[in-house]
Amino acid sequence: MKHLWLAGLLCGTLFFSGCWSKREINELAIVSSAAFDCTDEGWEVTAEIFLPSSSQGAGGGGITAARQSWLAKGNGPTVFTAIHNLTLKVPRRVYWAHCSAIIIGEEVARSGLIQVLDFWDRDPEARRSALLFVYQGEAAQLLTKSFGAMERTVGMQLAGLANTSKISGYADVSTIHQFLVALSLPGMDPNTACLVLRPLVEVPGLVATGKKDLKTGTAVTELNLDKQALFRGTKLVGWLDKREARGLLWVRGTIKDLITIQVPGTRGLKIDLEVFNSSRKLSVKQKDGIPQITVQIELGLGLASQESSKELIKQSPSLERKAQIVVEKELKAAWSKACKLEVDPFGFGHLIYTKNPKLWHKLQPSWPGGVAIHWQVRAQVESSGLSLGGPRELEER
Amino acid sequence: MIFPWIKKIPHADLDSLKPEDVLVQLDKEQVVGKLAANVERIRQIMGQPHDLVVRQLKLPQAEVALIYLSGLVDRISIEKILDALLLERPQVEKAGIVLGGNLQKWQQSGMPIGEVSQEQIMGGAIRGLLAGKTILVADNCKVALLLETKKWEERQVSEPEVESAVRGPREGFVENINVNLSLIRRRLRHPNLRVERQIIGDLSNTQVMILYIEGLAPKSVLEELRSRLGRIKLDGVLESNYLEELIADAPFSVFPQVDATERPDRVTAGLLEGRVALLTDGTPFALKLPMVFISYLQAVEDYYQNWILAFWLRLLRLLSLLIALLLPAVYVALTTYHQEMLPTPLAVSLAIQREHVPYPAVVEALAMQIIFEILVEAGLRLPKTLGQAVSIVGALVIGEAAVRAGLISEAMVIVVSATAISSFLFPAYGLSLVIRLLRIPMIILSASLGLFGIFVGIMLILIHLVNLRSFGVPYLTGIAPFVPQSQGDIIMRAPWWKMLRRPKITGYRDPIREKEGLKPGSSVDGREDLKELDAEISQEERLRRK
Repeated sequence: MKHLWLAGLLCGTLFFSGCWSKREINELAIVSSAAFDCTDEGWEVTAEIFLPSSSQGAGGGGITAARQSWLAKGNGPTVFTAIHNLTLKVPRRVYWAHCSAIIIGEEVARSGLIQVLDFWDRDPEARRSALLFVYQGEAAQLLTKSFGAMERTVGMQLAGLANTSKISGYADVSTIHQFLVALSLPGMDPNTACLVLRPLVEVPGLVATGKKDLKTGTAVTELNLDKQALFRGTKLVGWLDKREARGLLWVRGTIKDLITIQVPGTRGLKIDLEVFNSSRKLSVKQKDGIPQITVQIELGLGLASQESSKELIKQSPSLERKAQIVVEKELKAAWSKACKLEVDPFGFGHLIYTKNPKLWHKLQPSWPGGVAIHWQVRAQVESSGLSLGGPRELEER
Repeated sequence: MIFPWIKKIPHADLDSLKPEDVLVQLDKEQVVGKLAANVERIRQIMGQPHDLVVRQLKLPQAEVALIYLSGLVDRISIEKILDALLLERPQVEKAGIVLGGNLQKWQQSGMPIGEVSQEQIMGGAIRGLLAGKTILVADNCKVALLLETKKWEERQVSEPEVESAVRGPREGFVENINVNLSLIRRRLRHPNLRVERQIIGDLSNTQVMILYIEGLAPKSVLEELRSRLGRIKLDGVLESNYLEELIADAPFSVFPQVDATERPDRVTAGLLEGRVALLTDGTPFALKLPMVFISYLQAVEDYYQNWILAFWLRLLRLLSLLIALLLPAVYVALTTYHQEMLPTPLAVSLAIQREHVPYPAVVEALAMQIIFEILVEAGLRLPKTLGQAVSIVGALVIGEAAVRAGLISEAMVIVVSATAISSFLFPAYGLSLVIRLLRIPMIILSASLGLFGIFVGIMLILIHLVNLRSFGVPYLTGIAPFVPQSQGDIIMRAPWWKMLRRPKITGYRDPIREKEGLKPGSSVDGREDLKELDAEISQEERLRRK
């Protein structure tokens, strides 16, 4: 009781030192996305920073809107110094916690991502939930040539794309965390989505609001998720095209949302099937010293569209067979591409490792080889939407 | 001098005494046998005021005097007394009852007044006089009669202004303690309702009443209350808070440890739970004790409404308690320390709003809070007609102009107004004051230590709360210590057919308050008439099916 005043005084000193890590939200340069490239002296980071102006939605000429972000470049021999050298240009404290997308130039990706990954793993501010993209070309160009059309920034646009890509099932964006996890597992190679920039058709009236684009005279561009980038370790080794990417995603089990399968009908008519639910099961057995991996995929399908004059839902067994063939082709294409590139984004190696580590160590040098994969696809058509068989009847008459 | 032949009788010199000792001194003084001496003494004690009326009457067998203070008595009662003395007395005496100057006999058969008492002590007579009684003294009689004639202007029983309810009784306490007592007696028609009267205040001589139900209220609490009240010695009690502060367990706490209310139904409900009430004359606020923290969040209306709705309202109150205490602090912590915890669009939008604001978020928050407090106080103190002007100025200056002038951000206006509104959701005004006060240190803590500071603040408040006792009862009873049997009336409000027990901590002397199985339609146990009815109906049905 006697020294209560002393305790009070000591507590009071808390407040004097307390504010040292204070940073007002408007004193931050919030980074939305970052692009990494190599230069002659080392690394170049391009940070896309939110512009704190309230001109939200100003312009808005349909396809383009005024840029609401600002780009700053930093150079240095390492990723860390390049990021720190941003402070030479940015008047506010660069803040990485809201950085939602990291874009890696192809050149960097081929030479290895280890520095970028290490920074994101080590820095307390940077988040492992940031999405990782590969860009075919110089990554900074993606930021300079495009901007978030629907969103404020490219970073937010990319975060949205990563979500919506699940609907098509043609690309799967991996986060830094997923990438690091895949790296840490024996018998598994990371992969992520690749971005391309495509020129949009130039429509003078519509482009008028995109001031910068008018000045430079470049065509308005459009961001696309295009391929799946395959890595061996942290190095980019090759690509899977759309179809092959889907083959990979079937096995990875990331296809959950609605996706469509196009199957050829009789007489060249096109049929679309929607996947409502899918499940996959991987199992491994050993036969004559060769591991046998069985991939079972079960699909619940619905008829989404058709051109035929007959209501095809009545012939669901044939639809199911066709769907099975299409999916199986995708799977095989993906696996053969992966074998060609000598990577295993499927994680089959990891499967063997978890079941039989000794066997895995024997197989490891020649992986992915010396394994037999059995593909089993089962599809079931369950619904045909709301249609009762409308327009086809008219045609028949 | 009306009686010049009477010589001055030597008395203790009152002028040299301290005011608080005067009545004590007078308590030692007897009423004397001489009328003139008594009258003169009373005049002398009172200091010859103009409202002291002395009506001397020469009756056939006695000389008497009526003495009263004109503002405190009922004219009709005085006229009745005069009627009795001058007109009816001769008839009574004709019937053979000789009253003479013997006032003891008068008390038995001569006074048409409900409450008549004898007084031999001068101090008692003066106390009666000051309480609106009329003193009747007679020559050759060493006794004075005190006739209850009090009547003064007072507020009518009206709707409680602080604790209003949509559904429920509209009566609130008034300043008259006897009216207040009657409001409670009307709700509890049982002989076990005990009322103990005490006079507190050497100069104010304020009546204080301890109310409890014999056989329910814990004896320890009663003993403690009596001893704490007995200790009090001060000049005057003008409001129940005087007592509240003098009997509190933790005098340095901001949390009231006694429940002040102006609703008689709330007091009655407390009595039924085994609590003790304390009424104070001159104020409409009664005290209820022991108090637990959770009763802050329980409105009396909760019990008058559908229990599901009441439960929802209680959850709402709990939420608003958190908002009122923490929202500005959390806002400051998130925007100055933990920007990573905000969703990206919100972070950007807050950054944009704060772009033009020159001060840090803490300064913004504190300034807005203090201006808001000033507005609230101004609204309370101003004449009602000016109150509107203040609110318009407040809304325009603080809401609109400050944002437009770029002094504060829109988000802060939203935060402050949400906080302000939630701090007025509590049924007890006491809590909203406490929360409004605690908010400021919470903001300072969060501004210097971030979310960590907020947790430190919450921990300090909780440590303080679990330490508090109200008349030996832990302040957080029900929550800590956790009482499983009482959970029906802590956060939840159990339906009336499930509220079978009194709160354990106060009602342990008779824990059961309700018969079991009263849920409508669930059981006909114990209702023979219903059982018979049931049997009849099923028999009829069976016959019909056949």
